[in-house]
Amino acid sequence: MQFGTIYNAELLRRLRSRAFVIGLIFGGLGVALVTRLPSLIESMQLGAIRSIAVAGPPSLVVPAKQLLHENGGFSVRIVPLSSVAPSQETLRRWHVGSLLLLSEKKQHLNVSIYTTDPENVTLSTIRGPLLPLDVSLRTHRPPTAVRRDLYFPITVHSVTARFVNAAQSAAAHAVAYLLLFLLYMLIVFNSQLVLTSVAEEKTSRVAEVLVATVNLPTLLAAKILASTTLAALQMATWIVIGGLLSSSGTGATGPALAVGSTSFSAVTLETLVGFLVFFALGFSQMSVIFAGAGSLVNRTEDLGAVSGPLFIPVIVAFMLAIMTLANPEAPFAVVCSFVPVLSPFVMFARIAVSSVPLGQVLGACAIDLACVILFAIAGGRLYRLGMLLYGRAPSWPQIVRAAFTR
Amino acid sequence: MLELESAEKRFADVVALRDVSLSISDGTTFGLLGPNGAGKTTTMRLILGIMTPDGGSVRWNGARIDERVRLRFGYLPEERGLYGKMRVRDHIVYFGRLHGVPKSEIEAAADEWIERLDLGTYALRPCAELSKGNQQKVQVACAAVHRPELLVLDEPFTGLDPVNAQILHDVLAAMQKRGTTLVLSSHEMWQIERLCTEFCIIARGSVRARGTLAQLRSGWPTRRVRVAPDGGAVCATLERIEGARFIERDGEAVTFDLPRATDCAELLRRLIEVGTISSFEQIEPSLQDVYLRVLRGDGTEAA
Repeated sequence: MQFGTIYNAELLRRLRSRAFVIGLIFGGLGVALVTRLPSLIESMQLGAIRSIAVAGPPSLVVPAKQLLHENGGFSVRIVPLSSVAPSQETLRRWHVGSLLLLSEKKQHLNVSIYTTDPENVTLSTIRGPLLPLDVSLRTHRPPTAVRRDLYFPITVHSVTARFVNAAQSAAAHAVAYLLLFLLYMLIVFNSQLVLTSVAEEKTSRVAEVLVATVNLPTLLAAKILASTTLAALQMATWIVIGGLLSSSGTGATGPALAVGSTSFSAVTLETLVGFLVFFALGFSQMSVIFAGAGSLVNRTEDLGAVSGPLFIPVIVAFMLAIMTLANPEAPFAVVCSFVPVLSPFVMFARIAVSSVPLGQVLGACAIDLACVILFAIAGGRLYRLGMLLYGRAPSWPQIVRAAFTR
Repeated sequence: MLELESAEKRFADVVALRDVSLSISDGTTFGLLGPNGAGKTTTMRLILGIMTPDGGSVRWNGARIDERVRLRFGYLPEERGLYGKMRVRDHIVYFGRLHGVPKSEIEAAADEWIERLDLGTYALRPCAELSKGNQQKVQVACAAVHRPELLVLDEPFTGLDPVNAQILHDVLAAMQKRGTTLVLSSHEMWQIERLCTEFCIIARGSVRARGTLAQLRSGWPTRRVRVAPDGGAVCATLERIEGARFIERDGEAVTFDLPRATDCAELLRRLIEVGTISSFEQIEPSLQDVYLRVLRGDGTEAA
């Protein structure tokens, strides 16, 4: 009964809190931004880089426009032929990244490229799409017929066990990226809420009445479960926002499309279960530490000083997880996926983009679970020490003694 | 019955309580007195099970103080604290629920307490909007709404204006009548003297004196008398008593401390013989007098 009463009160109190409402809104905006950012960046980049102007005789520019669009994925516009070489300013005015000057020389296609992005607009990216036009000039056959003759099917097969093709792999990476961001936001935001809630009770002196009535494990467990419920609520809200945004595509292509429109539909059961399990483990680890730390705060002004150092390992874990996405079987990733606090992020990143042996996953879960228990014991002891300690902050020896002795 | 048997509590190298033994019968209103830092709050925390003693034991009706026992206790700590954004009524209901009272019952009880403490105007307002005195009344309601068997109040009168202090006094007196065991600490000696039936004076973590007020007074070494009018013969008679000490002259009256063995009836007879006496009053030492004397270390030991 006490547990339920505290849980309900805690949930209602935080649902009504300004911090939660602001977090929900800004978190939603963050998710929206992350969902759309790659698409936006790519579309902005592509808008400039993959837009090409072509100039030359109509017999060349008209088929070239079609070939560059269909074979190269370029957005092409035809511009008037000029005797002056285009400047960067001219290209910007035309909203293109490159200009191709086409001419015919001894029955061959002659192409001059003026580009602001020589790394992406290269000989191969232009030669391939325009090859049918060149062959057409030499053989006097229509470019469409040449193109048909030159076509041969290519199928890419992935040799990794997890993904059958590159598109699926890209989508999985996009999902992992998004979910890692969610994991980070949920853990940071809700751990902060636990810290604030405990510190508020301590500084408002409600704590003493509470501990006279309720035993500390019940109090702590109810608080953490209420936070977990709120986190789940936030997660659902943010996922809905992300899902709605991703379902309204932007017209971007390639990886951006993977993030922008297929990511949420690409969430596999394996990834989802991994996310939920490692969220629960990561959040439990952090929330008991934050609750213990919150009980040591005597003034709400000191919250920042306490929470700052505690967030460092979470930030490190998030960064390591992002690095892990690029190489999930790298030795550092494998090692970090067994290190408490880092593990929920890194192991989840590995699960999301590669095939991790079940033994490793269970091993990491067992280590994390053991740490949750150890952290809960130490955090609970700190909580007991801190809740009744007013006036001065406890010394480090006191904190260590409280955490490691009964 | 609440029993503390040789209770001890240490904080690192500091001994907060040393060999404290108390026995408080059901229905008693018990005053815990002592200077700041004497160990009163620590004693209360041991009683409530917030802290466990390093030595000795604390028992309620023979049982150790565990979670079940604590549900029958109420506590008003010295440092007041409320959830600022929670409404007054919700707050009272919440603490009642924490003590295991069903929602339907506790809501009616909360309304009753709101009325009793004259908080009706504020019932639906957030606690943070209330004045300090009204917040204190909310806390009293939170501590008592579940009808505790034992109510521990640490400095309950601090910060209350005379009207609210009287309201609180009446509330505690009503609980006393109903048989609730009350343990109070206060520096408002006259309040505690009015309410309590037994007392304990603690200093530096040890019990210095305990018992009823009569028992505490019994150790007083003198008798104080106030006689009017203060004629020369009257004063001379008083001064002739061996060990008599002049205290003060107040208008027409004169006050003397006399040896404890002095027979007051015989004294009055002698005074009437030497002059006209309009008033003869034997003044009992107040709780404050006893308290100060005990703390100076020149008097009563534990009864």
